[in-house]
Amino acid sequence: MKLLIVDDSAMIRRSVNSAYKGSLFTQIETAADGLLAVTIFKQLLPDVVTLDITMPHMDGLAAMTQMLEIKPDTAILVISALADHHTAIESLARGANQFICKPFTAADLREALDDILQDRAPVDSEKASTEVDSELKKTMAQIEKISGSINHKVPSLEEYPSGYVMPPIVGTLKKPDFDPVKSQRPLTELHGLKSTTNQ
Amino acid sequence: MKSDENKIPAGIDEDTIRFFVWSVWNFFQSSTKVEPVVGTPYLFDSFEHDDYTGIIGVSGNQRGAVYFTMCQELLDSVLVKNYPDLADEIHSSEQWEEMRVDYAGEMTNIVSGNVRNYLGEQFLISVPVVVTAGSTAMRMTQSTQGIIFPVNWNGFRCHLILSLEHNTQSAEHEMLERIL
Repeated sequence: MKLLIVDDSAMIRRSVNSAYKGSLFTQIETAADGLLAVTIFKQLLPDVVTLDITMPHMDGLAAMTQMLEIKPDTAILVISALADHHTAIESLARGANQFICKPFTAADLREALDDILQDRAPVDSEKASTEVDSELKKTMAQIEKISGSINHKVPSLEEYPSGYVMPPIVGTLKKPDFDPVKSQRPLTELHGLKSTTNQ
Repeated sequence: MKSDENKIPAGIDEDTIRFFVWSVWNFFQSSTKVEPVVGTPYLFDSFEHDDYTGIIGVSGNQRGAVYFTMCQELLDSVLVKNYPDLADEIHSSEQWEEMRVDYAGEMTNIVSGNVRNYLGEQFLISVPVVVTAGSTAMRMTQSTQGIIFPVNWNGFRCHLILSLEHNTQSAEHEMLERIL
């Protein structure tokens, strides 16, 4: 199997390479931006691509669209610092198989790769389902998994080990009007924040 | 450095401050397993660069920049904690310098990107730029001011600086979209 690692950070490319070196990949290539990645992709035709989103020249989502047009069965693992649901869901909608947030560990990378390879292998129980049902199940499972991984909990003031103290200017700041439709935060989380602030 | 407590940055509210404090804390804790101490943030209209400064441009609902400035010792220590084999693989000082610059940018990118889950998809961030201008003063633009977060990690100090303001053009555009 062939792997293409795409990230504008040399340290991230190095760490992904280290995590996957010696595994089932026979060839590993790297690219520092989306444009270069598509060029290398055409030559290499990799089986798996790890892809950053925020990159110079061409972002990861645009590069992914082009890659999947060339080789639709490529498995894409998006590795991004953009830790929001919208980005994760958009990545999946555009054809990514997995999404993990930075900072990550080597174990996170290996687990994501295992999931991708498991998804690519035929499963008996899925043969009985219709194609649409099967796709739907996979997408729901991915969304649930990703949602869990990026829904970080902001610690309350008491939980900060540093003894973080709220700055004195805070009370004078005008809070913007809350728009539940535009906001990505659920109301429950917002109430949690308010109650923490009032303590 | 001089502080000015009378002016309040319009683009930074209490939640934004808390999310960035969490994001800095989460970066160090997750990647190095050593918890940082994030001190009380305070207002600044200028600051001095440390050895390496990662800069991320912000657009969308807010505009401005996020600066993460740190000394070489901190950067080396984070790199070695994250990548223990690095010392064996890199031999020249040029390669080390390249890695430091690269990782200073990546740290700023991760800290800025991680807050999007709370600030929303309209908190748009650029690719990082890194400057190596130790002890050089950097002034904010006239319209924006900075909130500076002192961070102490593993005995080293670094600073995260937010210089943000509400993007009025974006708000007007949003209002027009709603009306039309």
